[in-house]
Amino acid sequence: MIAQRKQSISTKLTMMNMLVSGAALLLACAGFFAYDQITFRESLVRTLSAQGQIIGSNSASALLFDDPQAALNTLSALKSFPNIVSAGILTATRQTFAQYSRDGQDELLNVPVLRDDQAEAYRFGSTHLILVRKIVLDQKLIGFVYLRADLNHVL
Amino acid sequence: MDTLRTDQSSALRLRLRAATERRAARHLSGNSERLPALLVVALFLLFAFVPAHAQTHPTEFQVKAAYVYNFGKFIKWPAEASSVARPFEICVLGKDSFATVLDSTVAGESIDRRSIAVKRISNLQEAAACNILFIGLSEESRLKTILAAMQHVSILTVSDIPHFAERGGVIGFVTQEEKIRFEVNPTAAEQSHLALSSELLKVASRVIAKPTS
Repeated sequence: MIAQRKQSISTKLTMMNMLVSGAALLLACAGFFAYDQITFRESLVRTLSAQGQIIGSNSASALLFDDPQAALNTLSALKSFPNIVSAGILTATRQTFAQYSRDGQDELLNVPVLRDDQAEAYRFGSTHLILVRKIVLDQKLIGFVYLRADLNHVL
Repeated sequence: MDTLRTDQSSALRLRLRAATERRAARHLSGNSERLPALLVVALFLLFAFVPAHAQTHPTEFQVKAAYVYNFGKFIKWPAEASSVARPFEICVLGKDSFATVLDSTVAGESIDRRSIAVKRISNLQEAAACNILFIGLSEESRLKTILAAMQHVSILTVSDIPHFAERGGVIGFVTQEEKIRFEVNPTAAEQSHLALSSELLKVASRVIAKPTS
């Protein structure tokens, strides 16, 4: 206390200034960080949704004509997106139709269930984002596509 | 004055709601008396249908019928052939039961926003209005005449006659490893002014190449 009292007013003012600007900087940093997180997640969902749409519309014929090999060929195009860990196509009754995995291992996922009025749904895990999307042809549900992306992987 | 009226109307609404609730309650209690009977019926239905359902594998004709219907979605039909007013006609030439299976497959469906009609035909003159023509196995002996007649009209020819696509048909069914697949002849489709979608070619077991001239 005594030491503080001995300080000159100018030192005190500088200290106060430092404190205030430091706090402001910290707040701004936190804000930027949060904003970045939100936009990163949003863009990740958007990208994944677009990829799901592409895969979905390209595997409609494979689903209709029961050709899992053709669906697998479509799915393996995801190799060029290293952030996608696994992906798959389910039939309209939610049976696995074709599966792709970056590391070559099969996995059983619990894919989010879609309500009738939903075209797609996603869920963030601690390390992954999983997105499921309906495959619709002529207003008829013919299957689902799901994609799982790594959150740690920098795009 | 206005507030009075709103008060009155809200009171009326309340009374109405109470009445509907009472009615609903009566309805429910009426149902609960019938509940045991309903349960028995439900159980009976469950046991009657579950084993039957578990066994049903689609038959060959059912799969083919679904495929024929799906072909319609992956083909770009010429503009003059697709008038919304007329139903989309799938004709069946031949003596087998395919048309009956097809009937139940396409019931209530549509192609190009047009309703689908299945027509059984016995001669080629009747085929003029068709969009898809399915040629049954029984017609193999006169396949040449049929295909010659179909060459320049916008009709998609489909058949399970062996080597149908090679012989000049557009889509021919084949069985591979106990699965029904199909061969496609894009040259024949082109002659009929039909554009096959690349999606269809992707899932075809074989695409017949253009003969090198």
